[in-house]
Amino acid sequence: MAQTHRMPSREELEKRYGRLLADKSLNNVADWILPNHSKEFNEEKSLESLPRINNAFKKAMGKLFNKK
Amino acid sequence: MDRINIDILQKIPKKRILDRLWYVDEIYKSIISDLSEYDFIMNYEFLYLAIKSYFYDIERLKHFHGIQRVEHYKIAGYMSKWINRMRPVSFNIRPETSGDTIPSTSVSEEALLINERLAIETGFVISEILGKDETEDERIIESVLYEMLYIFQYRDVQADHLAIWYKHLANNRDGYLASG
Repeated sequence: MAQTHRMPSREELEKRYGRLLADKSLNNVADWILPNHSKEFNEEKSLESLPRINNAFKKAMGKLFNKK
Repeated sequence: MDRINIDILQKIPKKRILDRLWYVDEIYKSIISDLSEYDFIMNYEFLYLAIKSYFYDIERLKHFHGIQRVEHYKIAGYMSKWINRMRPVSFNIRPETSGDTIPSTSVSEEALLINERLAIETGFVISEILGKDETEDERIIESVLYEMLYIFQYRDVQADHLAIWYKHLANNRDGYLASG
């Protein structure tokens, strides 16, 4: 005979699992969020590092693939 | 075709998308400037899809966390992921042949890895991964380039993992130089 699954009453569920809902540490972890970042990303300013990084990439790629 | 939730759409003004298109285009132009033996082709439609997908990811993340700005390493990780996924760059080998034969010139690894490089270099620029001088810049990149190209080419790239990796590279320069 197939087993049937009957949802317990709300009161019974609270009795069984209610502690979890009230557990502070548990909820601190479950509700964890990332902090806001203070600096706005600025495309133009960010590209100031492009010449150096691009130059280094060119050299590293050249070495990696034995480019003369 | 169903459209995305209008609330998320409204958080991404056209200017943000245009600025980011220009930004990646500038990096792309720098990369191809010394690869003149190929006719590289940027497919701006795919780049647009990459950038819009990036903004959707970031807006969902910001909404979930209730924040206005994410740290730049997250921007780097998600941008890298979407550029690598959309693969907007292609190329023709010179001289181009007509008809049904392909060019006899063999292709270089650098050309084949152009999308991976664009994805990684964009992440480096956003994260400002720099050494004390140009020699150090090169050594930092050398220390991770082979593995990064491999992972971007053959494995699933996770944006959050990349963000941590970029953060680590930007802040622990000495460790990478010592292991090189």
